[in-house]
Amino acid sequence: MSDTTQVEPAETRDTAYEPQVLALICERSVPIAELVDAESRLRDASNVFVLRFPCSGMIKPALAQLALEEGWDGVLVVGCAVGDCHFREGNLFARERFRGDRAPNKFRRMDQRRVALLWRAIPEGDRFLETVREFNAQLVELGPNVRNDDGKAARRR
Amino acid sequence: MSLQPIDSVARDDLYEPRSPYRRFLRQITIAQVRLERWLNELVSYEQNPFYFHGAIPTFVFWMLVLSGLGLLFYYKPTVNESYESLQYLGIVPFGGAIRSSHRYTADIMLIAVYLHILRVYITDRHRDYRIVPWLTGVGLLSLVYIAGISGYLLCGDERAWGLTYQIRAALRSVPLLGTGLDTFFLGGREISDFTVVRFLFFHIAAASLIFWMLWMHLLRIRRPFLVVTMGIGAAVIGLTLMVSGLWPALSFAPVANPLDPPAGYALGDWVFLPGFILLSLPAIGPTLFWGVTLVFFGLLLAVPYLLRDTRKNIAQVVRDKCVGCQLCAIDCPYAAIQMVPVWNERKNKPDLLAVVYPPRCSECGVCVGSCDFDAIELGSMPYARLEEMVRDLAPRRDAAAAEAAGD
Repeated sequence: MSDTTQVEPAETRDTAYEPQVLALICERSVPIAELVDAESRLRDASNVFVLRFPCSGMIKPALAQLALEEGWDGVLVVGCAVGDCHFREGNLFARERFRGDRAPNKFRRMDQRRVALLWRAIPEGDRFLETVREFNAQLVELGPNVRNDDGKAARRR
Repeated sequence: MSLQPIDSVARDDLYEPRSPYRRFLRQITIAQVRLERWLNELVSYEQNPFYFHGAIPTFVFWMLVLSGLGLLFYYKPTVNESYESLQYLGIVPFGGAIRSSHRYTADIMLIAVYLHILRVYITDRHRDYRIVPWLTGVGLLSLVYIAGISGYLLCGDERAWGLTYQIRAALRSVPLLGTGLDTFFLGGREISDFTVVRFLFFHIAAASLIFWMLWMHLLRIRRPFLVVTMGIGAAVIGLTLMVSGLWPALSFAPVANPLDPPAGYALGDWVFLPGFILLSLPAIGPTLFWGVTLVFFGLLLAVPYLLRDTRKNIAQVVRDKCVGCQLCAIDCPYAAIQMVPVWNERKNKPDLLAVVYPPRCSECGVCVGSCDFDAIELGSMPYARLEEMVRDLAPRRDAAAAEAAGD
């Protein structure tokens, strides 16, 4: 009896916490239509909301940063397999920008642990979902994104 | 509510292709990507030859130019000496190896070019804004054929003259222009020393035109991949040397008198010369040859027009926001953005302004990602709306989380 009262609160808080993830996805990489429900959430991981882009090269770090400031616990950036971008260089540029090697980058102000870059091709839906689960586990370990009184995440400077 | 930032017919068609042709293209694209990913596991993406499908023919072309320059020092373009001068290469140190590799790299080049064409087609990268690379590519293919076939005419052996007479027959069968084309081909009414010089000119001129057309081929590509990795380069050179060692390229039997057509010859090359099987058919040969050639190249030219996308999302510059930093012009993969000077009254000097050239725009949004000032956006998707969408999602997310916690 006493054991349960001591242990329970912490555990329930841990299991109840579900990280909220925003996925910015290149529409030519993983087959989004098959993976997403009517609400634009992943069917197999309903905590992941999906925004799709014509190419991962369109996704700039400022957008990921905005998402973190808006209180998302994690941001997933998904592009085609490295070496094979439909638009030649989109995924290379996205990778360089998020690594801070190419303008514009604002990566230093972001919590890098909460941003994951993924390069997956069309037939790799399953591998993509696997990585999403890994990323979720990593975010659970990190805990919720710190938020200020106004509900927005604190800026890291 | 839909969360798709880009809404156009073409992009929706990516997932549920409506026409059978689109569905077919989508299926072969997926098969190809699966193959490439499998190869990535074996050789890593940095060495995957599929990712160098355009660089490999270019590399092979440089090998051809170099070995061809070597041959040029020994080749004598006359009727009587061309055969002997090539036989002499057998005595020259590495002469045979250079001749063999020149012959086999030509085969490798044509095969690599066809694989390049196939991959570009299969992965749906052959139409709309890529129309100029495709059409110049068809031109390049014809130049490769001209260079390759005229190369066989230079050998001065049975096959060379056999092919010459077949080509003459084909040219003469052309209505109205027939005799003129024949004279142009031979450099006179009959075969003479000028004929061989002319063949050498066809051979080298086609190779030179390849350089010029390659430039047009790459004009609309900002950073073409033209350099192969050490691994792939070594593999191509190794393959060439191996084949050259196993089956050295040698001339066929010499002819007694080139002025008489040879009785018969062996084709000996199944990469460049299959068209001559058609030509050797009695009576209908030339007609069939021209028919097949015209249909083949006509189809190649028509392929990109089979499917056109509606263009809704061409990039647009927001003039008030553009600071002229050139980042988008540098990053645009298709050189669709140019910086033009615009006179600034206040500063009394010109500012730079990004200008999009619509036919080149692929609607990929790389420029949107490159702009730090939100000054360029895709037609139907202002950048502000994208940020708004991220903001709007937050309440929905929280509602969903609350609902999940409530369950």
